[in-house]
Amino acid sequence: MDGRATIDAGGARKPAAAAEPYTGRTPVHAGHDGPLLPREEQQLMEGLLSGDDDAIHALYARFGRPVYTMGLRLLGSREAAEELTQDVFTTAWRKAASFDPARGRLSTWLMTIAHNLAVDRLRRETGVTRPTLVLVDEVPDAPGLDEEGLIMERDAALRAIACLSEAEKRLLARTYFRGMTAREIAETDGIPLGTVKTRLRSALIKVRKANEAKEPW
Amino acid sequence: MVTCATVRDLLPEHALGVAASLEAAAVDRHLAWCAACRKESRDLGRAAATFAFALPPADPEPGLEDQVRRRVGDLARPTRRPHHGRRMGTVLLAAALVSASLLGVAIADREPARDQVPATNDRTSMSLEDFSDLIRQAEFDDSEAFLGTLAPTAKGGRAGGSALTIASPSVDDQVIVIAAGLSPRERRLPYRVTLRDAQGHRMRVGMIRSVDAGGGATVGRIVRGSLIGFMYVVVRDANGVIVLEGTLGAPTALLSPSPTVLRGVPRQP
Repeated sequence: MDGRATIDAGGARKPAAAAEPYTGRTPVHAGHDGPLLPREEQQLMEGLLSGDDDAIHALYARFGRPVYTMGLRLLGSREAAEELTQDVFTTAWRKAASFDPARGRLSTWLMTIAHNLAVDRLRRETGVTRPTLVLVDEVPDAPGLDEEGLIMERDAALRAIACLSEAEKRLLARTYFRGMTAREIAETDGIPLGTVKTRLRSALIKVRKANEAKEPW
Repeated sequence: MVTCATVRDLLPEHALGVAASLEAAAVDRHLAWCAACRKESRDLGRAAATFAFALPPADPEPGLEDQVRRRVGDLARPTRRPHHGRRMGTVLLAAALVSASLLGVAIADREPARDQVPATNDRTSMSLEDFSDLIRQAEFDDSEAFLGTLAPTAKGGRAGGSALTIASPSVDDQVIVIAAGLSPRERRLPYRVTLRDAQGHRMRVGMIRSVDAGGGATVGRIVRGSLIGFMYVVVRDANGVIVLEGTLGAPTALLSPSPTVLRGVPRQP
């Protein structure tokens, strides 16, 4: 232990120190359950870039399941979700140098990669059965979750989304979960493209404001 | 030049991951220098990601973590990147695929709108020039690049394409093939792209399972073995009929002002 901010696999926080470059000599352990600090995120990404097994494990333990879940929901099969999960982590390795914790959270960065890859695949592949539209109000509670971090993240997400009207939830779900563009929605619903864009923007801003109240840093 | 107003109009779709490739690329270029729009983009992206965390979690198979660790470990293994070559190679492949996507090619990116797909000849010419730019910009160390156009056979209709291979004794070799004007008919799909050497040995590059509105697609592969000698590129349809073929050569002609290799694929003004 060299004083670097590390967290052990048992979930106990260890003393944090000033951020310093990841050298590959000291493992970054599987994380605690709360949100990661920016310097912890940076260290995990440096560990990922160097192929450190502990860093990969820590990242997977924290984000593997949400990424897989998104793949399953968007792509509709376990095989596609597993492939997506692998692609997300290899893409994160390739883009690791572009991750800047000062510009946003690691969770957002990774889930954006996951979502973009999933939507690309959804829109690209013919013959893929699009999953049933997933509306947030259809999302059941998930008793039995044992990862406190995931529960916290999901609770916060559900609270943020609760600020939306049903129409706004449906609109965002069509774009986010089905990959429909504003133009496609406008054509399907017979409303002006500008109206769809305005509604998308308005709904996202509502979620953003709700998120601001829960941001840990 | 894209204005902030235009970018703000595109940001919601960009944040939700459904912006068309060309629009997304324009937004990304703008965000690279505009801090105000970048902040807006970050906030909207964070809002969009909220949906991901609202889903009820599903449990992956226990072996998935091992697969992830193995794949990332393979990428990061120091012996596979003796200097910066491996990363540069990866960056090069990624850059080429990005270039391809900017040209409206579908495999590495989502389909652009039909009216955003350049004409076949224009795209082929553009992809060759993009390849040339990549070759010029990249530090190859001991690598060799080979480049060429793909011409349609009698069954190839209006198809066209270009291909780039990079061979190196110290880093992974790679090949990128960009095709355009391929028939989207189901009976022609999937297309299979292979390399062949003078002795008739074949190396698979990849399979084109779908094409975009302009019949475009890109396949790329990082090869653990050597691509030296694999100078013939062949694209076959699902029936095994060759629709595109071409021979790769040293890119010196392309890097000079001489338009030798570009002949036949005039660049549109």
